Amino acid sequence: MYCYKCGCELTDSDTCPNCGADVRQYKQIIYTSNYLYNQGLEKAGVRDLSGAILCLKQALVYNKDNLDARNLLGLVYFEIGETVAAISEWVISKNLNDSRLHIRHNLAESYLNQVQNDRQVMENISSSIQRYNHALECCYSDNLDVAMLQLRKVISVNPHYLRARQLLSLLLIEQQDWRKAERELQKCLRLDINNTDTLRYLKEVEQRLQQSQEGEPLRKRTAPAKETKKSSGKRGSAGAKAQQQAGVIKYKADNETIIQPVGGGMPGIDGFRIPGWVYGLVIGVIAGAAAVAFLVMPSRVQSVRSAAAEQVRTLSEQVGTQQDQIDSLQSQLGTAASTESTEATTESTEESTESAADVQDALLASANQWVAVTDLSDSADTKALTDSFSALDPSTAKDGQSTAFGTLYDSLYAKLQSPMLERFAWDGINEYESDKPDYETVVTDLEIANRFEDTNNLSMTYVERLWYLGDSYYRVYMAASDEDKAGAYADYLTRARTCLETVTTNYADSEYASKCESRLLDIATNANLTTDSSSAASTAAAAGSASPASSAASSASSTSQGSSTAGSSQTQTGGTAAPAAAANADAAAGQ
Amino acid sequence: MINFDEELRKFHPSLEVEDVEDAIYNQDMQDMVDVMLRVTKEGMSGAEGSPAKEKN
Repeated sequence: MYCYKCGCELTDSDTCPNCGADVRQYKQIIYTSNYLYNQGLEKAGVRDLSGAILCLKQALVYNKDNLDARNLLGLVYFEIGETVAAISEWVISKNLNDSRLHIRHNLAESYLNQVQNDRQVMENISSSIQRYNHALECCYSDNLDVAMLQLRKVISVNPHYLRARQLLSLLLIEQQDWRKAERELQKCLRLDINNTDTLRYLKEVEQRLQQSQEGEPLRKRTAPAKETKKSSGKRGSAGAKAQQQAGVIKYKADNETIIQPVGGGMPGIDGFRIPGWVYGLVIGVIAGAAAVAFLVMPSRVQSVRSAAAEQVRTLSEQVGTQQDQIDSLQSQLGTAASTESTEATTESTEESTESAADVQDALLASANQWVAVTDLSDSADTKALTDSFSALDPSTAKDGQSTAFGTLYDSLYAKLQSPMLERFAWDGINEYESDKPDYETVVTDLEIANRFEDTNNLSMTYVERLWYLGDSYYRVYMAASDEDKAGAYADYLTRARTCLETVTTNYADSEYASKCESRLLDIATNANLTTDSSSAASTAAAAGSASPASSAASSASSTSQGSSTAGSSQTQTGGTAAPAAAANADAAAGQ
Repeated sequence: MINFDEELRKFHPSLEVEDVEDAIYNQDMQDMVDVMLRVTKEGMSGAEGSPAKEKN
């Protein structure tokens, strides 16, 4: 509180500490204004807005500078829809504060900013006021329906507009629509619980409604939402009457008066009752959950499952395709590996074969070189050489052999043909002429000697050897057992006959021809030539092969007849041609 | 019994937003403090013959 004269802050004394002015009465005015402000604040708190307006106006009458009272008054005006009055108070409050010596924070500024800065709010307020004024004009001109429409529109935009609601209630009362009027008046009571006009109208409506209680149920008269015990006593007789019948439905049916509680809800425990909307909410939640669970979820689950199954099927197909590709590639790989291994093996085999053949040829070539430079006839081990070489059949020795082998054989044959013939011929002859000849040995030696006989240049002992060989064949056959005659020596008579006939045919004038003829007679007498089937073929072969030998032998005998020297066959010519004829002779002798 | 016409007369048109300025200017801003000061001043002027107006 400040001094009205000098503006100094006052103390508890009744005079100004600065200028000494008497401030006692001033203080009383200020205190009264504050007291009225407090009362107005209290009434505004319980929504007795009409009472608050009166108190706050009184407070401003005492002290117009009471900014709190002025701001609160503007706020109350704004609450009941009197926006222009509210703005007026706030503007005055703002200006008074600005002109003060001690400026302080003023709520009016914030109120004005909120209202004036919101364009939509200002437009709504302006339109509501215009419609209300228009509705009032319609009421003056008995155009109540249009007035009601306008008022309903105003209320829909600005529900706190008390005057518009009251006017609408008046119009409804005029139209005797008591229930709607009561409804509107109840809403007015919620805005301003102690408004005189509202209470008067409501009393009228309730009286009217009470008069029409025969055949109509009474409506529940609800107290305002913010009603307290303190203000309940100020509602008046109409409100008290409504409270007495609150929560009760009373009507007549035929001759009976039925009274039942409103709502029909279950009585609560110790006065506590669960509101009906809670039950509805719970039931709604349960119904919604059930609908989702039974209607929505199965389809969604099915769709999700089908999508998953489709994806699984697609992936399985891809896996199968890839597996097939893998298998085919693996089989191809295996085939390629086996082919490669086979080719490698073949190649290695060929390489080994080639290498072995190369080694053999190299060895043969080396041996050939040695044979070429060595004089085998003067070798100390000629017997061993001839023994080894005797195992080779000149007629078939080179069959299937390589060129190097053939070359070596030819070289050896050339070197050893004469020693071979000489050795085995004289071995056979000497054995035949011994005291106790072994005719089998004679046969063996003379057969070998005949193999190496040069058909183009027969040796001197050729005819003699034929006689000895034929005779040996006969003698071996005759000395053999029956089993051997049918087995190993089955063709010996045939061979003997062949040799002997060669002599008698080709060398008839030799000294051995007569002996051969006598032996042939013995064979014809003692031998069984008809059962020997092989002897016929061997006979033809022997005859065929014996002819060139016989021609050669005849030429040889004509040139060197009577020569019995144990010489070697010096007149050997054509080492390669001789083995062919000798092979044929050996084949005839061997068979 | 509510008389509609009589009650209707109690309803006056609301001031529009554009009329705020006029409403403010037309307000009577004199309060008890002003009255007290005026009385004091008249009393002093009557007693001394040279009143000095001081307003808070």
